[in-house]
Amino acid sequence: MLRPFTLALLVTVLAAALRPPAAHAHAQRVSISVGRNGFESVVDYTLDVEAGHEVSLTFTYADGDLEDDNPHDIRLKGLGLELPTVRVSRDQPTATLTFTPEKTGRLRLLCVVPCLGMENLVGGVIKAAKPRATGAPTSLTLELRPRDDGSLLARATLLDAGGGPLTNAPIVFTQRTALGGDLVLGRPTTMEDGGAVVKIPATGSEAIRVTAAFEGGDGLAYAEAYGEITAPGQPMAHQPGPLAAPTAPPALALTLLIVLGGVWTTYGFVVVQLVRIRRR
Amino acid sequence: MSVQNLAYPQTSFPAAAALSDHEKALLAPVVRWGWGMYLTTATLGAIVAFGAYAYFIQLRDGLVVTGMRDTVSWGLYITNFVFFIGISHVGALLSSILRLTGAKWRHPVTRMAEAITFAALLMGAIMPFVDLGHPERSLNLITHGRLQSPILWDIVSITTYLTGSTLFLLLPLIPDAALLRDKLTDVPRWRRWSYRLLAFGWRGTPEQHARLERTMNTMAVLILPIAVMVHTVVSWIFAMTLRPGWNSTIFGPYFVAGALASGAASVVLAMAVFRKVYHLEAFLTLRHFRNMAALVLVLDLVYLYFNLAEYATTAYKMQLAEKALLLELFTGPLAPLFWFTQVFGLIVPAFLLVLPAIKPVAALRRLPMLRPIPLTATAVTVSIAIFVISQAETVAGLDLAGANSLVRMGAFVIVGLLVLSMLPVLQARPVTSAVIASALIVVQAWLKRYIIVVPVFEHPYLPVHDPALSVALYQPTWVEWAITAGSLAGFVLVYFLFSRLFPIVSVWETAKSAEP
Repeated sequence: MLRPFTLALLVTVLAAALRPPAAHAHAQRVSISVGRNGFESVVDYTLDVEAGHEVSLTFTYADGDLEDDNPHDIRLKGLGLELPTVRVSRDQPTATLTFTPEKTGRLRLLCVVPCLGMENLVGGVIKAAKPRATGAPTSLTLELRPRDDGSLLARATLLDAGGGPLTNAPIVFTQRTALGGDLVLGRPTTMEDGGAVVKIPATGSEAIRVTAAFEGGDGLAYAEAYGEITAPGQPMAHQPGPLAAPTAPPALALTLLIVLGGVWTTYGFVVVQLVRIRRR
Repeated sequence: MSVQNLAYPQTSFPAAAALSDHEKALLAPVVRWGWGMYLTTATLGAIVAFGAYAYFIQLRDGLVVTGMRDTVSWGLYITNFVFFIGISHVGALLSSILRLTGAKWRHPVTRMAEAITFAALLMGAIMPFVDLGHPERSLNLITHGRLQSPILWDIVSITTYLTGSTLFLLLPLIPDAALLRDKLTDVPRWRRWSYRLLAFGWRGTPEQHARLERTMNTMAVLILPIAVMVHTVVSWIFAMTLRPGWNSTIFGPYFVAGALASGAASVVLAMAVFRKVYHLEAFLTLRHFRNMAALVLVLDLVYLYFNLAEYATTAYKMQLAEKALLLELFTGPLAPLFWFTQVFGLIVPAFLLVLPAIKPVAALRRLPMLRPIPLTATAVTVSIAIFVISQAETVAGLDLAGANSLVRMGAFVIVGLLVLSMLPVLQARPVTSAVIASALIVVQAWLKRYIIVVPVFEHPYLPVHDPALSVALYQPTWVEWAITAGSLAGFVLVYFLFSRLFPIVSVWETAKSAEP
């Protein structure tokens, strides 16, 4: 149980469950394997679920290759839910946790084995979103285009079931961040042609994943679209200031040389005087 | 001051030592090593040993035994580092400025100040290495050091300052070391050898005197800018890092002002202790305390001004990142510490230092309410009332619920009256007043460094994602407290042993200043 720095929680979620590409299904059953290795591989792990719908998480013991048993205690914390701690071990290789998040917000998946310095290690985040609206089907398409200045233009088009544009509808554009979060880029409303646009600043040749979502309501169904693009801009040139430059600026080096050289030369003078005092 | 007029304490010396009364008075602590000295050394040594044991634990198990984590990676050790470097400024300030301005009253004080510089720098220089989980990696600063890094500037400037301070301490010590070499013939061999080594063949010839004076003046000119440079560079370690609370243009002078104030205050404390313990009343007179109190007052007010400039400008704008930090300091969990440093660490000491000059305070003695008997009677009555009300809501059927606020107000009044009654007492004792003020300033100096270092780490510009409280907030562990206590004890021990090996008041300089 107590293996400082080596015992950590590895949560591997099936890729399909991580981020469904289309409208979210209500079947919220997820398998998660739990092992000993570092959590670097899971810091970008985020699981989306819907509030008001039952979620079932099945944890599977993944340390069977170890000579000794390496049990893991796992707890879900957040949204005011009182859930039991579940354990997976060699004797009990699977455990299931079923709950219904009533509120929207975040749940944290914690490893509660008290490793020194790593108590309550966060192994993943579960985001409970509000239930998605149902009603007349809508379709949302997303187009990502590079601009001349190196930035990107994201254009989402919202159409009704008959292919007609839906105007004045809010579209939420988000960008997936490096640490697995979602950065809201803007909430523009659709124009005459059903299109809504946002400009995305991009500083270099980086892969950008953008999601556009229409929340629905007023008899219209939720719709979501996502796309990925590599920003075409050149990587930002490294522009170090004088203090971050790879080599010391000559003026700085010269100043230090003069100041320190002067001081230490004076020290030398003092030592010489001491020697002369001794000889007199 | 005249040598003939001094009332020297009576001491017994070895028969072989032909010492004048002046020399006997100043060399008494060096000559007589009694049980008090050994007991003090053993006590301080035990605390240092406990700190060393804690450091061994840290070396063995790593920095995880401290309260420092990724978020807050500087804690008590860097607080101690800045504190020690700060009080080390006093040697440069007193000796250099007073020597260059020809102030004769400095002579009994300068060596105390220079020795504080040496001992504080010694402990301060150790602290960054203690802060490293792998101290051997400090060698990387030499093998891979970047000239444009403030850390490297810091290492270089502290090394330069330590060397300069050691020379500055040694130079005026030469004639006294020669005196000890010649007069203390029945001390252990290692001491005789040390005195002979540090005397540098001194015979007191006019040429030696002239050369020594010239060299001391050279060092006096040099050491002052070095001292200012060192603390400016220490402040740049913070100010050149992009963090709320440190992103300031005045950090250099702000740190220098704080360092000078705490350093001068520490000298007043040292003066008071040595005066009492080594019976140096004839040398450390009221005049010295008055002069030092004036110096501490000026430095205290300058530092107060810098505090105002630093916090008022950022608090007026309340930028988002600064806001969380400032609110924690002004009204949050650290508010008691912060307001203690400002009120009891700077404003109250300033008042205590000017107290002897406030004439109306003496009239408070005549107020009947402030006479000992009525004051004590009132204090006891209110204390009993507070105790009774805290124990029960009703007494003898009488509902006391509404009496709480009344009694609390009474407690405040009593405390106020007690403080008022103390003012004439303190006014009549300017030395005590200066010592209390100085002690408050020194305590403030340490707490202020903690406030400057730690909360900033708890409020980074980039938010930390869902950290555990143990990671996001800093709580020093016993290991850090033990090492801190060890370093403080080490500082006192080095200083104390110096005062038992060498005269803490310069014999030859005080004798010279007493000449007509």
